[in-house]
Amino acid sequence: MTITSLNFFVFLGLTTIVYYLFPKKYRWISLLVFSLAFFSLASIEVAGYFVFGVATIYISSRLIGEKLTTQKAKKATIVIALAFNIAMLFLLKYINIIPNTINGFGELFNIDFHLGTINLIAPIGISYYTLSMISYLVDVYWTTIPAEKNFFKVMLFSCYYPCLISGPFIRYTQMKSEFFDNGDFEWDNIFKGFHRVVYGLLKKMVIADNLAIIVNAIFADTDVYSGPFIVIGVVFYALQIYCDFSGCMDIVIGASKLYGVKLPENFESPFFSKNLSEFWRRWHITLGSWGKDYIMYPLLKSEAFQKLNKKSKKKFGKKLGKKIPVFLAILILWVIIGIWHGASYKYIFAAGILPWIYLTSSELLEESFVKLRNKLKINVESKWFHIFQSLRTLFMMCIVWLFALAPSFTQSFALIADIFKFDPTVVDPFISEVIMGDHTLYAVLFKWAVIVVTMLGVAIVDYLKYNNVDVAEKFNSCNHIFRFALLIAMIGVTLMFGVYGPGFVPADFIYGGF
Amino acid sequence: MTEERIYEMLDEVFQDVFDDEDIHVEPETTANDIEDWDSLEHINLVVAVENKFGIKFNMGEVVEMKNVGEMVHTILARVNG
Repeated sequence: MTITSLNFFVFLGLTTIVYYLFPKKYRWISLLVFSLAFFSLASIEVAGYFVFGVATIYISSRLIGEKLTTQKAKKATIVIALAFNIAMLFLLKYINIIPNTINGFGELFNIDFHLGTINLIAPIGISYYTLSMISYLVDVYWTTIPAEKNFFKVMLFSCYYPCLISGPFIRYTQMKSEFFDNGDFEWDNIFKGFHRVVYGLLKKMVIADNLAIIVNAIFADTDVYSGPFIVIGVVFYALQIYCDFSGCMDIVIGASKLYGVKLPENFESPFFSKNLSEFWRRWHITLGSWGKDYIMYPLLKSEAFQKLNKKSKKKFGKKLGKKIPVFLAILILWVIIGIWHGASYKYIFAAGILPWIYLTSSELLEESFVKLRNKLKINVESKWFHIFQSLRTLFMMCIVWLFALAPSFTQSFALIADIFKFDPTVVDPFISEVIMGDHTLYAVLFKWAVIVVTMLGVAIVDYLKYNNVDVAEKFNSCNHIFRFALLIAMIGVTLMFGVYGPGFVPADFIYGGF
Repeated sequence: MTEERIYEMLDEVFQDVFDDEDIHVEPETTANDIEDWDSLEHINLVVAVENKFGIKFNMGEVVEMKNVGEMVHTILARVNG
């Protein structure tokens, strides 16, 4: 059941009605039933993995929180439970990185190892629910929260179905009251949830899926399309992946809002960021904060890193010395994030190593940049400088996405080299085959005008959000007729210009694949 | 140890970690108020505070600490408790 399918919306509509028919005290149980139903529809044959996973987390959390008295025993328990769940995630999602690496090395030396890959079926959402379950267990271990006594409550937290599709990652601390002390029927939740879902569909189906047609055509055939095609392709991909992933989040957060359950935001206007570290605080927020809290901070606070800190301070002085352990910790963090994105070297480089190079070099060069800006007498507070900073950030991210778009890591450098080539003879066939298709010029121009206006609308909403305007609240307080007209317009545009139709399965959301 | 004394000692730690003699922290001070206090510096700060007061924060406290007031609250409980 994809999130833009009619089935999904029938499921959402029916479950919302049933949810409010339950007595308030038991509404969370209905959420568990819906989630298990959703999970079973997608992956009943591998449901055992999930049940085992959540059982290990539940049992070990009770042991750590209540039964065990010594720190040593608690540590042993959490290590076993985490190892078990991480091993399961790795086995089901990332195991093929091992034979692929060995085969790849073999190719370099002309040896054919011919190791086969294994195709195991992973339960839906495993890379999302595993991280959420880990955060719960670690929070109990850190005594941030007490262990939950009710197994089914832990189960709902782990498999709440809106988060199984592509996140956001949730924390027990923030979700407990949302799931279990909530459930009052409020029209406000229904309106806001519905608006958010419509807005998400507009972003996904009108902008992302239309841009995807062009992006896919270009990157499916980079032997033919070079030069400006690659530049346009990657910029369109930037807009596509943003509208796709954040549109999916709008639908998920909106759908959850219908039950009155507030989910954490995953995007906060990333394209207005002034630098890359701000970009990553605004893009896939819940992944970044998960990595920071459960990987980077514990690493940096560990004894080994503290020792390294002392040594490097002695060797390189206080200022640079204290940065070195931090750089090492964020390298580990980014490589793990890279692997999470996909079991191939292009993801480890694009989503891991390259962002790390960006971050460390900007840290190291910061002082020189400040001096240069002062020398050139640039007003860093001016709007123009902000625009320059945002474009620079986008440019750096486009390089990241070029690596992600290339068929493999080794081919990505050839792709970058292709930017400087150009074959003008392919322009005409591209326009007639990819852009025009069977449509008239008028229809195509009108469609793209609508898409551009929609993109401008999204940019305005993001700009307002960037400036801390509560857009949902503002929209809610508008005149009824205006709100109704805008909603009808958004639905109409999605129905008319969204990429879908009879027999067409909407492209899976890009992040659903992770 | 009094709360006042803790704030004085914290000022010294913050000034040393962030290399800025003008920093004075208050209960409401957060990472947003101090330019260099970001996620990359957070652990350096936490460890410097631990060393100054001879205490250890647990990881949960490190992650959950929202402002200096909460930090002081934890320090008070640790040194006087």
